Amino acid sequence: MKKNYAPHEPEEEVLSAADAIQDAEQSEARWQAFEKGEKMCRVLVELPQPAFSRLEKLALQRKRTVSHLVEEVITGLVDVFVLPEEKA
Amino acid sequence: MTHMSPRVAVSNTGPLISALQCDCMHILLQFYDQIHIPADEIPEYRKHGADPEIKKLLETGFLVVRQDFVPEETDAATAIAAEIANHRATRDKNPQHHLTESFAIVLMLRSNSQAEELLIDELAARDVARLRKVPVIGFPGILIRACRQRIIEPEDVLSALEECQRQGTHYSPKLINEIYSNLKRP
Repeated sequence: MKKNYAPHEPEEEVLSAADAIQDAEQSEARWQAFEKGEKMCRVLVELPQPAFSRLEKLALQRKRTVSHLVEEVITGLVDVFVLPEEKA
Repeated sequence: MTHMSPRVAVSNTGPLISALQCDCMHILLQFYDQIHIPADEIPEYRKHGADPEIKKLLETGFLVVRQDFVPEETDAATAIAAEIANHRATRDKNPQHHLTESFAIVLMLRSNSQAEELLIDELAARDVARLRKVPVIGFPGILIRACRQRIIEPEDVLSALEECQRQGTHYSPKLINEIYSNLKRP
């Protein structure tokens, strides 16, 4: 059964849809600027199940996130296979 | 992490509770390397029944508790809480009840803050944060970003917001339908 959580301040007025859309646009612009500053490029990796769940479990055991593990694996692969080839 | 600076945000209690309610914490884990929270939020998560989940996120280092507030920052948080309590959009006029979001705003105002944005849904606190030029994003905005990045589909955004609403979070049918229509638009 799905666990339920008591809502946070349910009487308080929250943002509108227009606010939410603006939030998303401004946030995206902020993170694009951040990535540019850090010389990072974003990639989308789609993992089928159960691969994602296994990776999620492994990440939790290592106190990491799935994104961190994927990032480390891809960077490692580049170091091992691409960089030596470029040097040759 | 192989990149130089971690992707950090500060969060108020509400967005993290919403993420747990609709089982979307994986989106926050993809968007951020760390989320900083003021120590005052911890008893709130307990009250919401989210203690074990929050504990797990603290253990992984994804959530980081900040309690190192100097007296000047505590004074600033008290003033911000009074401002939120006086805001026309809030029904809760007790400044003490707005201290957690005020400490979150104070974390964002630190000159050495690594955080890029504050996760917060309540209108009054968002207004007060914006007056101080603190960049904000609410949980629905996080879902919209995730949808535009193809991490989730518009239908997932719809069901996530409806699930939060079912569990009592104050997302109105108007808000949910408008966001869904926007995302479905070609």
